[in-house]
Amino acid sequence: MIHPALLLLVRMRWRAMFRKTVRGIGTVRGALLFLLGLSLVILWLLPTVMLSLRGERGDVESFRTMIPLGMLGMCLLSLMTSAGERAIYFSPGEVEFLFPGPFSRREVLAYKLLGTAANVLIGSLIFSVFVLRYASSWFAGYVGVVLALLFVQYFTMAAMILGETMSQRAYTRARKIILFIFGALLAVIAGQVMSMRADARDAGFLLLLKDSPWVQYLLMPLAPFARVMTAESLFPDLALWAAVCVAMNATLFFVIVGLDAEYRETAIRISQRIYTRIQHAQRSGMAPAVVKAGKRRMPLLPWWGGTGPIIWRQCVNAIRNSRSMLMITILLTVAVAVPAMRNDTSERGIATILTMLIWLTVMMSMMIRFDFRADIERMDWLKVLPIPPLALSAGQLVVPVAICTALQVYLTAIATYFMGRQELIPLMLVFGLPTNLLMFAAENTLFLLMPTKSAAFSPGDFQMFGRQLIFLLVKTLIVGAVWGLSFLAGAAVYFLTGQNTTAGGVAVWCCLTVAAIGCIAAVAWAFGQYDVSRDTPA
Amino acid sequence: MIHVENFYKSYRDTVAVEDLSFALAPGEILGLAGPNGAGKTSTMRCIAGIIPPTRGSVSVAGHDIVRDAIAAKSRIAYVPDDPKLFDTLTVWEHLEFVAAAYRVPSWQAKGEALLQRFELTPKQTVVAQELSRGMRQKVAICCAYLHEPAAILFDEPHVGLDPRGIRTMKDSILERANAGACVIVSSHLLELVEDMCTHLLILHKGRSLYFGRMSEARNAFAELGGDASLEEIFFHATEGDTGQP
Repeated sequence: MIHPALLLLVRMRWRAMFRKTVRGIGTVRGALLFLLGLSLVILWLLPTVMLSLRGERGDVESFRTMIPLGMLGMCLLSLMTSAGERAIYFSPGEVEFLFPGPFSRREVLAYKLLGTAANVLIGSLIFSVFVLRYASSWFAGYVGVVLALLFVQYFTMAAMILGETMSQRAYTRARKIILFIFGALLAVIAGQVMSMRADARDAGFLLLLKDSPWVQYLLMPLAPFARVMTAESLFPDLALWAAVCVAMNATLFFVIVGLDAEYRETAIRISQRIYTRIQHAQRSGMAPAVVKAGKRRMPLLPWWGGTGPIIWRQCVNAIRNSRSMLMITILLTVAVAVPAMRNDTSERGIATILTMLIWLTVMMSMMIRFDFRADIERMDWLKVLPIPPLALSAGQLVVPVAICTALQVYLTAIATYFMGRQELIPLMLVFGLPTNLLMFAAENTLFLLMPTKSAAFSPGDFQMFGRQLIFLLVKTLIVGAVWGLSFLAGAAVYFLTGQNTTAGGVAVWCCLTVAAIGCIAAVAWAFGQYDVSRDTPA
Repeated sequence: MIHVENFYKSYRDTVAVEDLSFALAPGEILGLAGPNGAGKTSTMRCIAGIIPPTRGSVSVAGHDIVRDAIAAKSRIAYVPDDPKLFDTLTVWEHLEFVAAAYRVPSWQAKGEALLQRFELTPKQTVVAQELSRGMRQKVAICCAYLHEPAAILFDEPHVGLDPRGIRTMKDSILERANAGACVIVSSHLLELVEDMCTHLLILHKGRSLYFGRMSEARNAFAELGGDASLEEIFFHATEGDTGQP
């Protein structure tokens, strides 16, 4: 079924991942980052483990309803997100060594499925912790999670391979029909649930779902996976249900391998596209939608001491990524609108929304990367530009700060639409601008001092996790410290001017703005420290 | 050794290569020349068995690349224009994998010799993602040579190599051909093609404009005169002029 060299490759790749981690923790910095990342993961999982250790078992019946529903959602999501990309992803190395290598298509597919299974075995170790509360034993939970995740992966692959065997037109039509059937089913279910809701106003959503026969039909094939996770005994419970799941996964496995579809041509094209996206995401922090030059041109900006051309370049970059930005905006809108719609105008409600806005701002500073972080492969080009480092750094920060501020104001407007307190909008604009400048300056300074191209988080890559955490902590500390000092200065002015709120506010703003502008100098200094020959990762 | 007959390759509505036929014997080196988008890489990839031909037949060492793919691929090596290696594997592990894939017995000594020849010995334990483009190119060439293929396909082999690397690569190609291997070199460097190749294939918009011995190319374009360079022949064939400004 599988060539021994492919098995060797799987082993070598796992060994390489382990080696990478070990090498990384060989340095003091690497070891500290690793420990920090590991501690965070432990802290993240600890509450769930503690709860299960105390013997507090969750509602198993609801869990058994939710797991198939979640799996169905994952399968549908995979199908929908793979629209137009009917191929299994192969890394460029795999394309160039395995496709011309002396392996049959089936062997290469089997290698891919084996690799997927190995990843699932490791990934399930973490996911299994979350089902501990509902499982009678960790082992049952782990086996169930492994089988469920494998099913989702193999189901998606089988759908892709099936699609590959049909012509594109037929596949597109078939996919539309499948999605239409699913849509119709969901509509029927929704209608049924809504009608039931009139009769059972107090009944929970899960109970309503459980009572729907349509839901039961749809989820029936997925129910065994929840049964494995919640199996009460090793035999016959676990063994029996696990056998059913293994049989389902094995069927999918043999469908994928047995079809022997000619997937390579599409795989090369799609894999190259996905690889480019991964590279782009690692540089810019967001996956590009289809980036096209478009008809409208952005007019060149004046020189402005050298900042003009830099701002213009980042503006063009942002415009060409506007589809990704739109996706982020939609997600943020939902994140703010949902809690705001509760219309809780109490102090607590306002505090919740403000906390959410602050948290989203921190997230945005990590996602919107139209600055030095997207230019790591162009640092030598930036270094030779006849522009003073201060002007260049200022130019690099203008676009992300402007976008972040605009989004903040927009989100505040959304929140205040439901909750009132429209006075928050100008306040967000006035204080958000210097705060964002401060945050992006801190982010870029840290990046230039500790550059890395990869932003991906692979299993076991606790160093990257730790690094992200340190960035977040330092950034929060800087912004917090500047805000604290500004607030103290504002308080002093407030009392000195006979409790004049406006004067106090202006003092806070002035301090914030001075500190933020000062931070541009820090970015320029870090840019000067950046050594292209040493710091640009291969 | 390599037989390509009535070969077509299309991607949906785009025809990449149209009705291409040629044959190469052991020891012959074919220079594949053509402007960007001429169909060179598609041709190479089909011969290497990476993608299937739309129509026609391609065989290597008597094995059809579609019907008898494994046997054909066992005799081929392909070095792409920008080799992408397995990021996390070391240089030596790449050789280890290739040796296992092509079932090369006692490959270690051969591997060490190759690494030494391409000045990769100090990089033996370095992971691929830490290598420069030129180094990656050299690793790909070492991997290609390890199993002594009967047919070797190079797509822009000089790109990224330093002068010493180019010299070593050229010498090694000539040695392989002298030892009986059949080589195809796709390159925009016409001097390199003229210098190394015994045969020439000029592709333009997926069609063959010339296939034959390098020495006979001047006769085929006699209107250019007997002392025309390959560059003049190329521009005349693809653009209808001599390429002079």
